[in-house]
Amino acid sequence: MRNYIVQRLLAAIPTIFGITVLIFLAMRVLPGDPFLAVGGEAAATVRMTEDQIRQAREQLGLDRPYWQQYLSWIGDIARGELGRSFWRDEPVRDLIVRRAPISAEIAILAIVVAWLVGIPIGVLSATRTNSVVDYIARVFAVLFIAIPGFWLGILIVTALVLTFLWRPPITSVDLWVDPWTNLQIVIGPGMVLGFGIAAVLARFSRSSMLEVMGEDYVRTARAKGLAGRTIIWPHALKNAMLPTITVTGTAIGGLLGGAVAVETAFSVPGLGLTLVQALNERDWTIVQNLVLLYGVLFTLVNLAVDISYSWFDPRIRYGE
Amino acid sequence: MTDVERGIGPKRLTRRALLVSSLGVAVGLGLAACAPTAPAPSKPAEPAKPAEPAKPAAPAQQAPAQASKPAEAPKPAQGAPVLPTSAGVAQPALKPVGSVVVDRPLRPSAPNPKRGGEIRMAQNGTAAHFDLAQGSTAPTFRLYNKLLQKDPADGYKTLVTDLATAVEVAPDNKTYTFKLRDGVKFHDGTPFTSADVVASFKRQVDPPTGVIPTFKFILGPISGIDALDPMTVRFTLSQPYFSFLDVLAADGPGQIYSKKTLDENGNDLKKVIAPGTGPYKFTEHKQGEYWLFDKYPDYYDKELPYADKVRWLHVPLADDRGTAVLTGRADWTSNAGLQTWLEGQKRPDVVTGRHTKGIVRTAAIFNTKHKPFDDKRVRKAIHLAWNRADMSAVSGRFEPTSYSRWVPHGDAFEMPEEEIKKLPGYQPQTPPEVIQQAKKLLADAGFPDGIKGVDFIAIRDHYTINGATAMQDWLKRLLNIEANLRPLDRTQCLQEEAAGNFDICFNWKQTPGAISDFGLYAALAFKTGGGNNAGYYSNPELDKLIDEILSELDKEKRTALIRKAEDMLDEESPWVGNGFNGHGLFWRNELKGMGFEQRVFTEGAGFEVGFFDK
Repeated sequence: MRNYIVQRLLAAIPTIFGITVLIFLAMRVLPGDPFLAVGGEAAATVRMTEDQIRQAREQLGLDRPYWQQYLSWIGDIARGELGRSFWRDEPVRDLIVRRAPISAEIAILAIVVAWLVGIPIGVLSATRTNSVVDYIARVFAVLFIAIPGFWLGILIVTALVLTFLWRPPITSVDLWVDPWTNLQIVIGPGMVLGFGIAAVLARFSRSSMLEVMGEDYVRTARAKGLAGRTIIWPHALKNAMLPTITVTGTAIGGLLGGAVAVETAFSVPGLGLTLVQALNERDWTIVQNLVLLYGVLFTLVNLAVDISYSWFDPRIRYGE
Repeated sequence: MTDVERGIGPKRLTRRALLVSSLGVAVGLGLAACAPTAPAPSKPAEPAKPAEPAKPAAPAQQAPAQASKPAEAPKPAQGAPVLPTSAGVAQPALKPVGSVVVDRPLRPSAPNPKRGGEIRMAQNGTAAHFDLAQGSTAPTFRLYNKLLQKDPADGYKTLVTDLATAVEVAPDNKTYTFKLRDGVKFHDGTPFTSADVVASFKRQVDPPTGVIPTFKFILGPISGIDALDPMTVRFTLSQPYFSFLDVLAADGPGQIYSKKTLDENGNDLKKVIAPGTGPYKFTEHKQGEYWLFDKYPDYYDKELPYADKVRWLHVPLADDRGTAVLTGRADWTSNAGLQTWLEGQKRPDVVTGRHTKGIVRTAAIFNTKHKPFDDKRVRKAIHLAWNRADMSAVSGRFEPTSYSRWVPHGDAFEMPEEEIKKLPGYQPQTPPEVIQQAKKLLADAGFPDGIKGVDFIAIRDHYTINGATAMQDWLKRLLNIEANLRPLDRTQCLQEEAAGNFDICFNWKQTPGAISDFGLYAALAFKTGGGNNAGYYSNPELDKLIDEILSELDKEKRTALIRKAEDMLDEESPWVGNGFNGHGLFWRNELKGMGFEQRVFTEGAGFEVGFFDK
């Protein structure tokens, strides 16, 4: 197992290198000059002269060749500094440390909600095929797969404002400082994202359960007189979990992307909103580092998912 | 049903219980968190504490406001001439040339100010950098003072003193001498002197390498800044300049930094939140979340500020700002989304909303280097056919749009709306004969069957892109002009605009420093080579006229010059557009003193005179 993990980690290096190159080039190739952001609102009023733009490029080291700029960034990463915000000089590391917890909470909450809701619905649906319960479960799944999270978020916020004159707090609060306020911030996006994933999980766990329920060992268990609950939970469900785990891993990747829109809808000051703001300001350093962070997380999540297979299915062995 | 399923049957209730419990826990958590009970305030953003009555200020040059009686009325000191701003609609006269302005403190617009609490404003609060003179959008304006300031008590119509206690204007209107306030200290303890004023303006007028002064143009007539003694500074102008005092009172160009800080940072404050002398000092900034400012205990006006803290919440979406105020997450915003603003109108017991005038104008800018828009007949045809009612209805879904010509609505030099509505091209519904006139102009220009393949760019924000889409539609319907709309990201649009890669650019434009003055607006937008002249329009006759407007101080003569320029712009139509955008000012009823009821133009200031009266 250890060899397998080491091999996978080594294999991740070229992937992450590819991410760094792609995002570095993308930020420089995409249209939209960051220097037009320097004047803020006035950028729509007064244009910078060529000389001013040249000066600004020099100040930021952007007059250097691309390879030098790239190596400089990689050097920052190697030192754990991650560079500094394009104009403000704020360390990107500080920004991530400050904002990542709230995004992580939302992701964890979403996964918990997805499992608590999606798997039981999938199991129920599979064990009540073509019953009213099954139909309701399938409608739930299709509905939440179809509804975009950001739209549901806007709907929830609007309903709360109009009905109760209440909306989630605007500024972030750490969980350990004020858990109640923190919960008010993360519960909305967590539930919205969670129900979206729950719908997918319900579909996958239903089909997976149906497949497993037809296996010989389940029939044998039935023939031995095992109770239905004992058959489903320790035997059938555990074996039906592999696709669910895969979907969850993919969903975490989707959460990183999907959270951008949902965080914006709920005005949650997480990493997603940070990325949107950085893109608007053309703050290349922040965008590069956040995309890299997402890439690394996605790679690690995929590794964790692969490793977890062996726990769910003892027949799977790595590196042996 | 399979055997397996039947076998599971007897345990149905247990599984259901499990499912119900799981859902119950999730829904319960959701409901608990979203319960409409008063939420526990977050530590960093706690609501205003119960306000205490303000204690009389220590004896000073300003009369203190007392809790037991109405605050000092916002009137000038006896015998002191007051300088109205150029937008001073309520003022009967213009700047009294050669007069002296005496000290006059800011005071709240409501009686019985109380101390304490935290004023929370919901607005856009991100900033690429921190240097206000280089165009930063950071809400750090109230960390600093200016030589003069606009008075919130009368809705910012009047200029009153700030770090200058008096200004003397020479008879030729080209030399302004300011006496400075003694005993003022920066937040880092550095004493304020005339050297700070000189350093703050010199880097904008004559920028060193690396400094990109956004307001250089509007400070253009300044030919000299001299410290006559530590408490006196003299500005020399190359020509009389109508808006000079307004520029000194404007946020951005007007803020006074300490020479010490400027020297330490090579005159470039993009990466530094520099100490100021203002009523609030910097405490904390969480990028993309909020700015927190604490009361400066050594502020020169011992009466101010009333609130202990100011928190500027970053809320980028206008409707979110409205909901923030409606729900008590914020106390006010200068620009709430129209829908939430309208919702607030149904709840007068909680919030109050007004519309204020803006100096931002969304317009279609013609590239006069590109055919067929190099022909003024084509441009004028579009100007004549422009359907004001339809276009205002579109933009009015997001922000109120005023009915104006080329001067901002609410400005002292504005043509009355009733008169504007009679002019060809400004009628609320374009009459058929005017459409015919427009078509004839197109035909005369060689386009009797309309125009095809117009490259039409617009910023892809909800406000601009909706206006652009509507314009694209009516260009086709009324004049058979087929425009290919290219929605672009803001920086992309600005880049294309700067490179001249467009036929028509639908974009919003304003005067730097948020100054309402036609002369400055026109000089930037329509003068040959103007920083805002994206369409490369050039007319030597108009250039000369704009120069005259910039330096004319007599109101009647200036009004006549502006009318002449407006006629010329209607005829030449380098741009066509809606009126200037308005904004939804929106505040909680308990927040008083900031002159919300009196404001004419959109302002993000006035915190130091704000207080809570619950």
